[in-house]
Amino acid sequence: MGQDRNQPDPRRGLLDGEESHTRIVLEGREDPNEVYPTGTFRTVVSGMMTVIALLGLSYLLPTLADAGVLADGPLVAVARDARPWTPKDPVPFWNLVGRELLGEGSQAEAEASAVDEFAALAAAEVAAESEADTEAGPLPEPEPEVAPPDPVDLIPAYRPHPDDSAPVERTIENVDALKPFYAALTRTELRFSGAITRATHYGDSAIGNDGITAAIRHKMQARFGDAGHGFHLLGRPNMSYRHRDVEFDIKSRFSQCYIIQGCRPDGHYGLGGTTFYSTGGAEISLATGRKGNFGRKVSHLEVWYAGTPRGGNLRVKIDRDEPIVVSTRSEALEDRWFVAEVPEGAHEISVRAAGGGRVRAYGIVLERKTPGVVWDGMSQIGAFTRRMLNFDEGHFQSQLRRRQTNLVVLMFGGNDMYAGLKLDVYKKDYGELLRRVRAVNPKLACLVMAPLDHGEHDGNRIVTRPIVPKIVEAQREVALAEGCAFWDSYQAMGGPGSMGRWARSNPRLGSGDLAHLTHHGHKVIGSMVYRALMAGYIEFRQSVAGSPQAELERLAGPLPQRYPPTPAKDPTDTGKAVDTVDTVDTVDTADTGNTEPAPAPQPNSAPTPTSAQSTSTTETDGSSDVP
Amino acid sequence: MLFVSFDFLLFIIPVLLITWGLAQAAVARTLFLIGASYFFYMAGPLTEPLPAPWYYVGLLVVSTVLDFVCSGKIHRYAPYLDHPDRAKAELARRTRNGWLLLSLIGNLGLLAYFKYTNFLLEAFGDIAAVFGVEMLMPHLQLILPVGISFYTFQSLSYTIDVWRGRLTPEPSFRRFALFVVFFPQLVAGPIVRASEFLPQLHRRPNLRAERMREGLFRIFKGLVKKAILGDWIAASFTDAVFANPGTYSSLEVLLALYAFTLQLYADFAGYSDIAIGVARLLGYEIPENFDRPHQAKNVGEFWRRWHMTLSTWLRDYLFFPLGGSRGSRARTYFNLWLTMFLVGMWHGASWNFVIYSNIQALAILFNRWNRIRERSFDVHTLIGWALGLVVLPAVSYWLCTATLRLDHETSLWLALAAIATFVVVALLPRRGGWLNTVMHILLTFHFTVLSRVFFRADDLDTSRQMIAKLVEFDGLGLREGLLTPWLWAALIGGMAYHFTPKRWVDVVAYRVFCKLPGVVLGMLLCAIGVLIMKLLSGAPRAFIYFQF
Repeated sequence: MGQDRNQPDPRRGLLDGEESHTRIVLEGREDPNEVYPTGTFRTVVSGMMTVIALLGLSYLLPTLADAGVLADGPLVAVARDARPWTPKDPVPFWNLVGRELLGEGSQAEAEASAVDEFAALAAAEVAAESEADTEAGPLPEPEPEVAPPDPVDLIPAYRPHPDDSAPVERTIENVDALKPFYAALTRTELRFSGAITRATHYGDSAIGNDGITAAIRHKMQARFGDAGHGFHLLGRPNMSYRHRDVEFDIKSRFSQCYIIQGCRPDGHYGLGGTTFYSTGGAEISLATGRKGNFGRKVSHLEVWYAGTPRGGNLRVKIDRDEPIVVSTRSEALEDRWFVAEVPEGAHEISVRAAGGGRVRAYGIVLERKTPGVVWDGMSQIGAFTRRMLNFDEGHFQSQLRRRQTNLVVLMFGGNDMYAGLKLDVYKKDYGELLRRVRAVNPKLACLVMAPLDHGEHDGNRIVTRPIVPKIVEAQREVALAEGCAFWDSYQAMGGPGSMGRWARSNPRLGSGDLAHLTHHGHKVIGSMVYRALMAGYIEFRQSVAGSPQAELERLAGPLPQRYPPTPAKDPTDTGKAVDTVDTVDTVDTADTGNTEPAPAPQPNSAPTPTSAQSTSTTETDGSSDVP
Repeated sequence: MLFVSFDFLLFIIPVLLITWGLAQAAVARTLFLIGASYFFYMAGPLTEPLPAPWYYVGLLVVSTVLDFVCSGKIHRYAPYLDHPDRAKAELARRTRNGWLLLSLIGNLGLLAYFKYTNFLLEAFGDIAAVFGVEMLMPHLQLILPVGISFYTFQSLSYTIDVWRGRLTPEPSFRRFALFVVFFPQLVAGPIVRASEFLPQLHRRPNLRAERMREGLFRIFKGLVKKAILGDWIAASFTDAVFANPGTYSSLEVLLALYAFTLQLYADFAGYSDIAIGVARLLGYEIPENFDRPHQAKNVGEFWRRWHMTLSTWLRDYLFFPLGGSRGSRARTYFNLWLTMFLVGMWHGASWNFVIYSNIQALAILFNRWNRIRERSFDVHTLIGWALGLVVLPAVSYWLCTATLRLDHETSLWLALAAIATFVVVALLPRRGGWLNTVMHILLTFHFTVLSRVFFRADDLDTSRQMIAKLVEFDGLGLREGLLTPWLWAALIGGMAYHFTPKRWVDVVAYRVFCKLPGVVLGMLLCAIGVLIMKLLSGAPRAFIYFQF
């Protein structure tokens, strides 16, 4: 079957041909006597009549059933389901009939503008952010810090803050569970030396891109002081991992093992849920932010890593100083930290796998010494809640303990909705996670944030997925049972159908997938959380005003201890390996209620596993240190 | 109004019956169709966000009157072009050009105002910022009138053809008005030219049983494509991924790109099928818009098969008047670039589309260079190789680092990938056995799929996230429950369908269809309707191309 020579080349492109010229004269009239052949419309008309008949039946059968003329059987049910329009739907040809003739336009426009309330909130937040950005400098310190008072001194009365007048959209349930956090915050607000209040905020994609977490961080730091950005991973487990107020650069990527992959049999994923590996060459740098008001200064740096039997060297370089080589070799798997103090200001730390074996590291902490708030953003994109149980329990708790965090926030559920989960199993898993968090330290407060509303289309409306309120209720039940506070993000957004309203607002607050928020939406939720936290804080401050300062210590424990910098092996020997650094805490504060960490070990001392659990994981680690 | 909606069913049945009933009354039929078309334009369903108010139809009226008047004036002065008095001839030429300019400014001005103003302001601000001048550009709250990109080109074709002397002006304003507002193609194409449609209005509508069946078949085919492969895939998968690509794994993002490629084709081709089918039921023929585009073996062929009425419009009304490929090589390349750039920019106004348009345009330039290169080896060939091996990776690298803000390593890999692609495609013989053909189709298909990042992503930041996701492949796989087995079946089946021989559907399936009696067809239509309601929860999505 040869190709016809006269046929154009089937591969010819759009612009390969030549222009053709034809002239068309528009003239002539229809022949009015022409008739259409018999049967021209037969097929179409009979099809049309069938459609009309079936449509009619879909309305007739339910009507007869409703009138009791017909039994309500499967046929009626099918007919009921097949009705393309019901009275609750908008009138057909709405733009003309409903909007103009029936006068529904103003109502629809009013409904459309109902979202303006949230939009205005977003606009205000964005404007405030822009205004703050234009100042382009670090936040001014609230007040000079003071030495911690005697335990018998009285807690002063609460001093009102301009933010107090803002209405609280949704208060926190079981807010008493946050007393340890509020006690820490009180010391921070009173500017006691070393009074840093830390929160570690885990969640799924709802807090991805450091959206909600940065919004809360900014609000808290603007009010209580900026004590630093907090924890940052050594890489990006996914592209959403982008923190605000820091400059992160991957010069050469580390290999990684992300907790949702379940790729670490030993469960040692590090505080941030991702372990990074390299036998050499991988390098990242993290610097203080160069714009905006937050994260512009740092004075205390920590590198979180693991000591392993075949561990290599980490080269840590701060600014243009000589690099320090940290050996990660140890007899058994253990958590370690490299600590450095620098003059307060803008700094950059780079971490490089420097060979000598495989290094395994977790992240970097950027902090300051000044009283203030640190809010760690720990997004676990794509994670079901139960993935958090992939952590080795002892490791997870030792990491949180070392972080000396005052509050753990959990915001999961967005992915669980799609997993076809059984609520009983879900509650059990969530309860187990909360028990692990609570076991870290009785003075560690926990807050469960419900998932955001997730919408779906129902006719022309966007409604809440039926699973959403169930998951919210399950989380509330578990949170309250485990002694955690609970904040209902779903109701704060407006409850049923709220994601639809948020997605329609201008600026848009909800994203088109009806499951996530936009940048503006993050700011709105962040502000709501802040106001809810502050409502509880004011209540707390009023309740403890006039009590002795010892009450704060009773609730929050002693002021957190600053870990001393890791000394080099020999001050003149920079660039050489430091054999050991701060190892895992040796005091089980869960038993004693004491949050004070153990003194840092002396240089060159052998690392010591903390507990039977750590020891056992060490054994596991010895046989497999590869993800 | 949306084709896949109950409103349209309520609309089309009486419209068809009345139109057929007016078979012997040409004037009444034309007036009725004009009225029905305006009603179709104004009476859309309630959607989110709210549809544009009915009075936006005024723009359509303005466009209709403007082109009718301008073309009449242009034609009036045509005889004087050859007048022996050169002054009169010159005056006639100027007058004609003036009326043409008025039509162009009127039509393209409205299009530019509603569609491109905000982007031009944004671009101006961005460019000023590059030069260190920070400007806060205003953002106008404009509602894009539905279908303006389609009816503008449609009515312009008439004025330009009259100006070029290739079409005599339509004496009847009634017929001309129907040409502009004919509802099957009014809001989303195909773009029908005056020379294709107006002659049909001078004849009786072509109504025969055979054409009725063809029309019905096209409607069925379009419904399945539009609702199941287009709307459902979007509602169930792609919209979510493109809304927040950062929260999905690399594999999910890649899959979403393939799914979007299928969805976009099904959505637009399905709509065009329904439009062609409805027009046939009314007795009129409107042009084909798609010809299995993903079976194309090169980018030039792809654009000959994809949205054919737009690409051929720009070819005939821009590329050829610019000189086509008859000038120097440099001029030809410029003409090619400009035409393809405008084809791309017609689809949207954003930096994303600037990148998308340039990618498509450069691919067309490469396609032409590669074919000339086969015939002769000269300076032109050397320049091409130099551009491909040096400038292309350099530009790719710059684009990745400066515009998409990807890290250096990723950008370097992409630049190397650009070189590799250039070399592979350049060295792959244009003709050969079936394996060669498959290679060409696969390369063209994947080029199309990957460039769709810029087509679909809401903004540059989203594009950047998606590209980074693809390059820094995270190996996280697919999450549980994201894709149901039915969705997998739709994706695989839809993709496979596209690559089957055309005659399987157009001949074999049609033959089976013709044997079905009207009652069965009616029942089938209802079954499809119920299925659509179930799949989309009764919420037909707006046609993607409405926004263009």
